[in-house]
Amino acid sequence: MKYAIPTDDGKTVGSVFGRAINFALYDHEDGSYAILANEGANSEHGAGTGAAAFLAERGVGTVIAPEIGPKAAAALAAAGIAIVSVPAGIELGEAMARTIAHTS
Amino acid sequence: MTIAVASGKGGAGKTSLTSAIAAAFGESCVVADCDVDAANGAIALGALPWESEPYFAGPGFSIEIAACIACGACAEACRFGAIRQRPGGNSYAIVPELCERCGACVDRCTAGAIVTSEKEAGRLFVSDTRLGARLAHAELLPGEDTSGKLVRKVRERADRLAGHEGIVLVDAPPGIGCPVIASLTGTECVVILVEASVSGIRDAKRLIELAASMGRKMVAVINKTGLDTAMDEEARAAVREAGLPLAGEIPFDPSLRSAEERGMTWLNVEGAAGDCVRAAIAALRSLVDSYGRR
Repeated sequence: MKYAIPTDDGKTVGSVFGRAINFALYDHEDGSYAILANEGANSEHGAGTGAAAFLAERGVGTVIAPEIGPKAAAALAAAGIAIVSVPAGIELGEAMARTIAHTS
Repeated sequence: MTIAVASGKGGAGKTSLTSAIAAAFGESCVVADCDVDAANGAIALGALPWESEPYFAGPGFSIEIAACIACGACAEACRFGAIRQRPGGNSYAIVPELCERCGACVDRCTAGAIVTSEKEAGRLFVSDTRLGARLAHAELLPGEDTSGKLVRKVRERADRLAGHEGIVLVDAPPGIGCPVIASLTGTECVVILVEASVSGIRDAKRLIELAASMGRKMVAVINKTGLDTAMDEEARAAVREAGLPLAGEIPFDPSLRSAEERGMTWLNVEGAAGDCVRAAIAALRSLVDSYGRR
């Protein structure tokens, strides 16, 4: 399973999804980790749905975020991507740990 | 803590109510005027800008005369009729006011004559106000429209000014689209301002549906009561059916408007209408406090 977390500073969970500056991608199977720049962070409209498509293309199965807008949530659901809610500002590792504890 | 004031319908009294709440909160509060298409927080609050920077929307396109081979493929591709032949017919030009920045012309141009550049669409401001509250706002150039991106930028500035302990008041745009969603994101409470009119009630219902889908806590205020008792009752029923607490009702009263014309907010209006405003804001404060700080 691949997990994606919006992050502005690359260390903590960001407050927004579609306009997050980066996404942290964790692959739980092989333990790999990457920070990807969110290409849609500066789009005028449709940032949330754009981010959903961006993550779906990369095979993400779960998004971990404080809040997802209604259109982005619908797009994630259509792509079969689960959403786990965590507070903004916590460390990325902490967000992952909470998610694994929550889902397993 | 962030509180948004939204109504669905335009002209329902969002900025007036926001300004009155800001006056009540005073210096601890930062207003984010996110109704950038019709930004009037600066007028209502008496803004004294002390910082500004340009705002860049999406890319802007233009055609280089020297490179253009006048084939007309771009004009044919443009669904908005934004590309026209220059006088003489030897090249084409983009009319910026009509361009929707879709980029179809760039794909069609075989001569590589269409260049993109960052297009300045307006300015972002940070201001002091005569009420003590600070204000983050923006101004768009003619023909530019607001967007989730711009709302986000205004809110980032407001968040920075307020810090962790401060209160941010978001004056949301009308409607239920992208800029409104960006205005409600990450707020602890949404004040649903229901105008006691057919369109005011209908638009408020649509907004409540949106805010509920985002899991927002809501408080209602009804504005412009006393014009039609049946309509007032309908507005109350809409609030009741949605299960929202009602902080108060503000009557349609010329004294409120004339106070604003004199540069005051609703908070300081003497008489019955002003009493209704103060009661509603006091109720709002205690409800918002009960929702707690993050």
